[in-house]
Amino acid sequence: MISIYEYVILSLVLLVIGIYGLSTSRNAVRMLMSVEIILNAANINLIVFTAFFYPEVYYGWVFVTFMIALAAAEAAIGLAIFLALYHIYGTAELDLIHKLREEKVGGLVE
Amino acid sequence: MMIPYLYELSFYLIAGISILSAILVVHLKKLMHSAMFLGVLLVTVGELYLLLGAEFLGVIQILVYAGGVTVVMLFALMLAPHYTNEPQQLNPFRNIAIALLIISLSALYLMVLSGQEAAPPTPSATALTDYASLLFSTYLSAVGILILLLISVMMSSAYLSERRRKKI
Repeated sequence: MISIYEYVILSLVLLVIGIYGLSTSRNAVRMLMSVEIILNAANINLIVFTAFFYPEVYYGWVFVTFMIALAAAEAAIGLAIFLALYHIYGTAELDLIHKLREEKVGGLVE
Repeated sequence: MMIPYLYELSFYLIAGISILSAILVVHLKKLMHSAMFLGVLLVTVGELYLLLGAEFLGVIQILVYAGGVTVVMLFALMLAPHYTNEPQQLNPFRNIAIALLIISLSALYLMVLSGQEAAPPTPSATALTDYASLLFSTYLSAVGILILLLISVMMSSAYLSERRRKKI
């Protein structure tokens, strides 16, 4: 029998993979994909707790609807920003884009 | 014919495919392949929604996420030629993605076929109307804010993606 634990463990594993990808990737688009993985892990949790504990009221479904819409909006605006960055700098690797960084970190800038 | 543990086996198959495709999204070198496996992951998560009784959200997940967000990401990658103009060799990743998708969909079919009642109590017949009335009465103001947000996102992404005059 599949209980709530399996679903929560699956969600936990997806969350950990998403955090790992978010913290190790340098490319902006891959970071956006990792954020999508994290949001999906949270959505699984909401759906599972609604299905197991509140089978008559659907607050979890409402929040998942909002999260899907917000994630779509976030993907659209993020990809537009990264595409503009790519057109300006020729790359979307975020550690190569250091226009705003000081020349000598910690030192005075002439 | 009842095969024991068919339901559990199918669930673990779907969960394993979603975890495997998440790992591939993080680890694959080319971004096109990552976007492809992100699509597989989103479809398997939508299958889990279907299993948990949220049919509407499962369909929305597959339509909006796997159909919309993945395609937007692929378009953005195609507009950045740095990531796509490498020579196209014969890659096995597309076939792997299609195979994972087919396996997970047939696992979902097996779960339905196994006849076992789902572990959580199945939602009532009026689940969708209850959900809709909750969404459009209690959370009506949030829906309005969401509409404004989507309109502003549309306008601002159109503004951001216009051609810049000169390089900074």
